[in-house]
This record gives sequence, structure tokens and C-alpha cells, in this order.
Amino acid sequence: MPVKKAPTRKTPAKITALEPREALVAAGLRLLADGLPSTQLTARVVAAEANLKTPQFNKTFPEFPLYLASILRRLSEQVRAETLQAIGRKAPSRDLVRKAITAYLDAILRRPALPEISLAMRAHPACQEVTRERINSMVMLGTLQLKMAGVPNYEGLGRLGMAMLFEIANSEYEARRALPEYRLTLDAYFVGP
Amino acid sequence: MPTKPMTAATKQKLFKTVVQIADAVPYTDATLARVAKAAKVPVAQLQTQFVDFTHLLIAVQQYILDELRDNVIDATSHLPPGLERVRNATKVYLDHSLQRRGLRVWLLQARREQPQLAEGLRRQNHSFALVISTEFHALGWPYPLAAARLYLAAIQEAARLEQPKGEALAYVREAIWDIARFYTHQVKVGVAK
Repeated sequence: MPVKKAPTRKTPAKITALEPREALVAAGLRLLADGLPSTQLTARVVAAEANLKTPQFNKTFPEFPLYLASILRRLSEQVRAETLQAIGRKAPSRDLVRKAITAYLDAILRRPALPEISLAMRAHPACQEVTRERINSMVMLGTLQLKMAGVPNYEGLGRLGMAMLFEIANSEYEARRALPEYRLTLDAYFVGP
Repeated sequence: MPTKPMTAATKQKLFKTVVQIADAVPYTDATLARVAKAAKVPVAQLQTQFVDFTHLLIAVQQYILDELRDNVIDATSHLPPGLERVRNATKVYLDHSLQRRGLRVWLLQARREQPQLAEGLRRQNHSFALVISTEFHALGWPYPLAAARLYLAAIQEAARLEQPKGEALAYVREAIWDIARFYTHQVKVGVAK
């Protein structure tokens, strides 16, 4: 009986196609983390950081907005991961809600590129999709927390509460700093004085 | 031959026509020519007055924001600061959003592509937030502007949630009243009570 080969996860051609993509996204994230404004991300700058040639960038990302959408997605994942880390597997409580709110807002503040790209690229379908996914995922997380905490009307309050949270994130982005009076106002509603 | 500038009454009639068209025609099919045909005015006259479709939309956006402001004043001016006044204003906002549903969809799509439209709304939101903040200030909320901006974000999300069905949603209204009760000091703790 002929022995079947174990299926490989990726064909060699796909691996070579994926590698520069990953290297370019990682390079962009590094540049942003080092303080480069997202408006200064260019194919040339990113390719150089990734030790690649600009044509390789252009081949991997035929449109620059597609690259920005990949960056946006990765930044969103980082924010979500930091928020989830704050929640951990702890039992729902008032203090946990406060921690989650703080973790989310701090994570966004550390990544001004996220709202910056989101805003600048809001007309691009790929970036719109990432933003929509980010919002939906956070709304789901918030609603779930309220449900587990036994809050009546967790659906309505989760959605409106998340809109208030996003408003704080936008205000803090505009101010480029944490706004304690906004955080306290939201905390007071969800957590109490 | 140059066309005459429009009178205020003609403009109002035109804006009402745009509101009607928006209920029947998707944004992608909306053009200055279509509006001109429905309003029975020459396209040249619209071009003289508004230059292009985007500038017509900017004017229509201002028209419905002014209409909303007037409706809110009518519904609240006889009431003292407090929950009932905030509730009346909120109800007018949400009901107005439902009445102008088609146009809201147009504007949401147009704002992604036209920063001038988004800027017009941002300025108007700032004015609304200032008005709401005077309410919360009168009621003794320690950070009235923060509470006003968060409350406005919650109202806008409520309007967005009611948009697809085109009717008031009980769980959404219940959530917004819960938030209103808290920021008008009717209850000491919000959702986490």
C-alpha cells in the first residue's frame, strides 16, 4: 500500500510569499513603537527597516493602504490582548471592569498610530473592515463581561458603554494624554464611586 | 446667463426634497442632477448655489442639525434642569434620527469620504456637548463636559443601533435612560448596582 505523505502546512512558494509580508509588518510595528508617526511610514522606509528592497514591498503590498490595514489589524490585536490580560480568568467584579477600562485606554494611548491610521484611512474598505472588527470584538467582550456580572440589559448597556469608552479613547488621542476626568466619569457609572 | 441666488424658502424646499430622495435612493446613486430633477430646478442653479453634490450635502446636514436643535429647544425650554429635560432632549434626538433615517445613512457614508462633512458634524457635536454639559453642571456633576461627551456618544450609538430597523428599540432606550438617570443624579450607582 502506498504510504501517503503527511500534508505540509504550506507549499514552499507560499512560505516565500509569507516571509517578506511578516517581515514588513514587523518592521512597521517596530518603527511605530520607536515613535515614527504613521504618516511617515512609506514603502521605502519600511522595506529598509526590514532589510528588503522597495520593489519587494510593492510586490507584497500592491497598494499601501493594504499594508496599513495589516498594521492596523496587528495593533488592534495587541490592544485586545492587553485588555484580555487585565481581565485574565478572574471572576467578574466592579474592580475588574475598572481594570479592563484602564487597560484598554492605556493600550490605545501607547499606540497613537491605531487611531491615527484608523482616522486617516477611514474611507478605505480594508481599513474600514479592520476597524469594524475591532469595534465588534470589543463590544462583544464588554457585553460578555456585563452578562457574566449579572447586569440586566447587558446588551444595551454593553453597546452604549463601549461607545462611551471609544469616545474617551478618541478624546485622549486628540489630547495625546490620559484624561482622568473622562475615565472617572465612566468608571463612576460602571463601577460606582 | 447667470442664475439667481436661491431664496431661503426655495432652499428649505430643496433640502426637504433631498431628505425625501434619501429615503428612496441609495447614496451611491445620488447626484446633483438627480436632486435637480426631483426638485424641478435647473442643475445649473444648484451648481451656482452649491458647486457640487458634497457642498449640497454639507448644507443639508446643517439644515437637519438646525432642525434637530430647534426641536430639542421646543421640547425642553419649559422644563427645569433635570432628568425629565435630559430625557425629552434625548427622545427628540433619537426620534429625529429615525425620521431622517435615509439621510443619516447618506451622511454616514459621505462622511467617510468627505472630511468637510465630518468636520461639520464634529463642530455641531461640540456645541451639543457644551449644551448638555451646562445641564450636568447645573445638576452638580463634577466633570460636566466629560459626562456630556460620553452621554452624547451613547445617544449617537443608540441612534445607530435603531437605524437598521427604523424603529425605537426597547433595550436601547432602557439603556440610555439608565445612563441619563445616573448622570442626572437620580441614582447613586449605575450599571454595577
